[in-house]
Amino acid sequence: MARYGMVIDTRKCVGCYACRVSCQMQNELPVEESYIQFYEKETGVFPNVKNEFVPVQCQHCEDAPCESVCPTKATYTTKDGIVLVDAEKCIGCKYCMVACHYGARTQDHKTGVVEKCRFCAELVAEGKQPACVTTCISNARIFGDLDDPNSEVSKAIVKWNAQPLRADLGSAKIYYVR
Amino acid sequence: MLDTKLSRRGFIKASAATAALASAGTAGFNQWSNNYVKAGGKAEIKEIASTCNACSSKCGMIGHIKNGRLWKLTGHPDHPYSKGKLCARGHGYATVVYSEDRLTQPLKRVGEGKFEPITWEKAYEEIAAKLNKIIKEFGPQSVALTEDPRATGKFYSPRFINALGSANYYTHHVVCSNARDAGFLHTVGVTATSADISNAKYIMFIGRSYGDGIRPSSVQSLATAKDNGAKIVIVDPRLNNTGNLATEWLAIRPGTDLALVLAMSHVLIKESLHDLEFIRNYTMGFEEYAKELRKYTPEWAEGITGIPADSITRIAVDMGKAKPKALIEQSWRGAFGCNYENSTETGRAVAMFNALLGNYQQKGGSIFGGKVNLGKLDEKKYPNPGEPDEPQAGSKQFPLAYKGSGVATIVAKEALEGKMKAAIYYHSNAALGYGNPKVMKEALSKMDLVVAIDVQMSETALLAHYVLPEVTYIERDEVIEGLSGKIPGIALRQQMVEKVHPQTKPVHEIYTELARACGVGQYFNFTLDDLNEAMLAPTGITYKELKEKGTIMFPDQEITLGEMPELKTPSGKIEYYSETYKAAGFKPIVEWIEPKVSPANDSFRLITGKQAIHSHTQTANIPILMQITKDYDLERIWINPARAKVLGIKDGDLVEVKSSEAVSKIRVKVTERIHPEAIFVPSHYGITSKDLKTGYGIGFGYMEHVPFDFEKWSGSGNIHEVIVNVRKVKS
Amino acid sequence: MIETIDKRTESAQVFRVFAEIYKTPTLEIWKEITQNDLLPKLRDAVQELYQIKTTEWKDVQPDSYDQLISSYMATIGKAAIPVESLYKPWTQDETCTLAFAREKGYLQGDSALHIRFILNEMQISIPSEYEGTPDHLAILLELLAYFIEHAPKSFTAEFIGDHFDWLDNFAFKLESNTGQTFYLEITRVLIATMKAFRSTYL
Repeated sequence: MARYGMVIDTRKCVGCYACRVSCQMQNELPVEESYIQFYEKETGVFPNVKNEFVPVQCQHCEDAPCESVCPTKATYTTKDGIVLVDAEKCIGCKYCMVACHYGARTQDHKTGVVEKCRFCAELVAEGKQPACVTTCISNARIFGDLDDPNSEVSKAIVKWNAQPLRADLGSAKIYYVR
Repeated sequence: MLDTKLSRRGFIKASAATAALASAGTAGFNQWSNNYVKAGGKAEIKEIASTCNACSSKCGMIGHIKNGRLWKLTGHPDHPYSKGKLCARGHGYATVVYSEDRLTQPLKRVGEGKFEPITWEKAYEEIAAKLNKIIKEFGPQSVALTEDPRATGKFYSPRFINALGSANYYTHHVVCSNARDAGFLHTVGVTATSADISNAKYIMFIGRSYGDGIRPSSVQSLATAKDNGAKIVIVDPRLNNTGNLATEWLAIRPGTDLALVLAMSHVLIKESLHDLEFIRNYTMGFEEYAKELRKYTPEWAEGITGIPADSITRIAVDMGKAKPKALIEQSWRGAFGCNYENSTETGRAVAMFNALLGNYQQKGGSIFGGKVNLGKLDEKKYPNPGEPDEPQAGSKQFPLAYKGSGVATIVAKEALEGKMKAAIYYHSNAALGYGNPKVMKEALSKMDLVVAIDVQMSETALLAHYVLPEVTYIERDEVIEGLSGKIPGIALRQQMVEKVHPQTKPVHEIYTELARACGVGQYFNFTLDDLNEAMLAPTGITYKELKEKGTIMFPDQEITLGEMPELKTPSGKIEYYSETYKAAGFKPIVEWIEPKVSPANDSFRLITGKQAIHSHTQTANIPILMQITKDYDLERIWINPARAKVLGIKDGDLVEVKSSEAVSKIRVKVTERIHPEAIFVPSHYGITSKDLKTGYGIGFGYMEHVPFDFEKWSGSGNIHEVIVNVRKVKS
Repeated sequence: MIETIDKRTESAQVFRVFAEIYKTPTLEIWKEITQNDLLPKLRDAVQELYQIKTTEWKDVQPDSYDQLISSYMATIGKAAIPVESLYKPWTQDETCTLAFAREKGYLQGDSALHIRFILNEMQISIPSEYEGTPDHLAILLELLAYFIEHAPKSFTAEFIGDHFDWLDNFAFKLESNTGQTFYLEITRVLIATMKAFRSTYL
């Protein structure tokens, strides 16, 4: 049993959208739908300016609020810590979309099912990496077992003091280096 | 009974089908789909190694083919540019093969924007007749061929135009790297070096952005350099997307990069941080150069560039201390590929600065890449048309321009003067991208014959008399491509799926057949396979092996760092003093050149650059990529908040951009990431061909605002020498 | 019985004529239109067979061969190609991870593969210009005509259900994309004919 998580090093992200496109392909999303949103954060005044791209997707929260509000238990957490949606149980009530602090959920316009980043659970089960990690051109994304202190992801969290996006909103499984 | 002769035209003739009908009686779509499509696991998946065509990098990729259709794409793990990864464009552009907006049959123009189908035979016949008539009447120098070169084009295109007796072969570099190429060529003997980024300790980028003009391996190298603690300085009027990987941004006044490089060179010499031994061994003319540099102090440069003299001194000194693991990255278009009247001289100054650091062929420095020795066709069996006697048009006006690229816009200029009568454009949207579209349209309309070979109805194709449809890069084999680098290699583009449109053809077939129609078929009496076999002969690698692997690297031929190769300059040395320049009527020593135009207090300089999800306007019609533009309003122009405030402009407002050439309406992004003197417009938008349904009508094309012009040294397009005024308008 | 067989043959003939109209125009078909009153004849046939009233086609009929070509180039030759794949999600295969696997608007989708499968099974070869787009309307209509004459009714009904459910979207595209009315009018009549044929004979 593992507890899967990710590090996103925004100091390396150049905002190239390769993760978005490869995620859309892996999950066969229509061109208008994406599980990854990009936020640009500009600080300072010309010419002392910094810019940061923050790719945001489902943070796979511990005690996920989307899970607790779901009336049909469609949203659940696997034993490996991945938050998933059971499409059979989802009734499209959108409670989870409201509950999500990160706006990470989107509704399939055809089926009405609410979906979001799934850490590419099938790929991970085969021992592979999520599509956004494989394709990242600057190696800004690291994926692995948070419970294993020797995993790349755990070492990166310690080395760079990576933090959840909003630690005040509870613990999540994506850590950001900023 | 509906009586007509037409029924005889139907294709179902034999009644053999009737027997089969009984047994096939149950294979309706759903059942068939369940048996054949959804049972995906059972179908064989073929993997074909090839190369991408979404940008000029041509990364290695692997196509996964199922049921004869493209199925999945992955980066080729052995290819030095992809290293197993593909960028957003690499995945997205492949959809072009099944696009409904493709050209499917040869077309002849019968009116403005009106086309009629024509057979290949008839098209060849008519084009050949016109070409031969023009050549007979006006001489072979009145015909030209222009392309954005890929492996097959690089071999076939010049050979074709040479076979017609013309030296007028041109590439897109007039709006890419003509200036840099000329500056480097006459200094270090090659148009471009590469760089050992991952081992460098101090890297300066001038206008070049790895995060916007992506090659996956370059971004990885830079990320590695950063992890290793390298200093990374971005010199750009705008904080580009590589900014995240940088340690410092120098927000330079656009058009003044030359002053910065000259002043940094001044500091290196003044502080004795230049590599004297390297200069002694491998350069000439240093004394005169050093004397000229005395006046270019950091204080002088501060007044021109807006960068504090202290910063200039500090960075130059730190680079001097980090040498030879310090460099100014060689760039492509960047800030000095084709942008300003001083761009060629900036390119020259950069190559010279790197020589001061003695970083050539050093770990963490500039690299002269090695190449695999490839064979040639046996000329006894396959006659070579050879170099024509008449020189390439433009070579007299621009003797410093690299002959292999030429000055492509000279075709338009000479067309307007009535000298150029026929032009062929292959994989090139010159009418929209190479020069002011109004001028280009006028020029193309004046010629007696324009032929466009393309996969889609580009703006250039719309102006052509004949449009010849090519297969896409997913459907064709190509000539072997040599990969230059620290470790050299070769790569092969291969056909992955059968042609979708049977009437399209690969370009090597088009050239071969058109040459025959023109009466010069003897120069094309070989097949693509003959050529590739001949090229492979000296390598010891079989064609079969290359076809299986797609990319093959030659680690045994890795260049030896520390060992300078023979330089191809006239003196065999790096030239701080150029006799070639002198003979061409230019100053042999590099000097400060003013940009051609300067904005006033109430106007701006219009600058342009790339975004990671697009390649020029080539990807503008790809829905999955254009959707990103729409989601994040990426077509907007950038304006500095201080200037925006004066003009009463807020983020997201609609404005009018007005230059001497055009007026455009566009929304704005107000951002501190841009120099107050500049307006930035991404270079991927402004499609005007209605046949490109996804790209049409989004954003504006910056070339519409660029006056038709030639930089004095390299003939490049001066695409940043544009002044615009901006005002808010009602949406 | 004989009457039914005749009507089947006649329906097949109607669809064959429609098929001709959707092919790249040739002088041959232009002659049929101008010298042999092809369009009025087609109009009479659908009226007689299915009681479909059409508008006067004289208004939309091109004046010259050049105009027919230019009408073709402005519509089904380029802006609104009548190929089934373009109007349906590209594939049902869930293992496909291409960017456009579920999208519409791409050639050689599952429907093209299905037609290719049928053509292979029945050893029917089609002209090379349609090999990349076997689900082109001209091919589909010829196949339909053939099935009407030779296949069991259930098969023909399934074929219509599978491969002609996109014609409304096609007509919509013709309408919104182009100013030419000739092919739009033809398509409207084709849709009505298809519907009537299905309810009358299948």
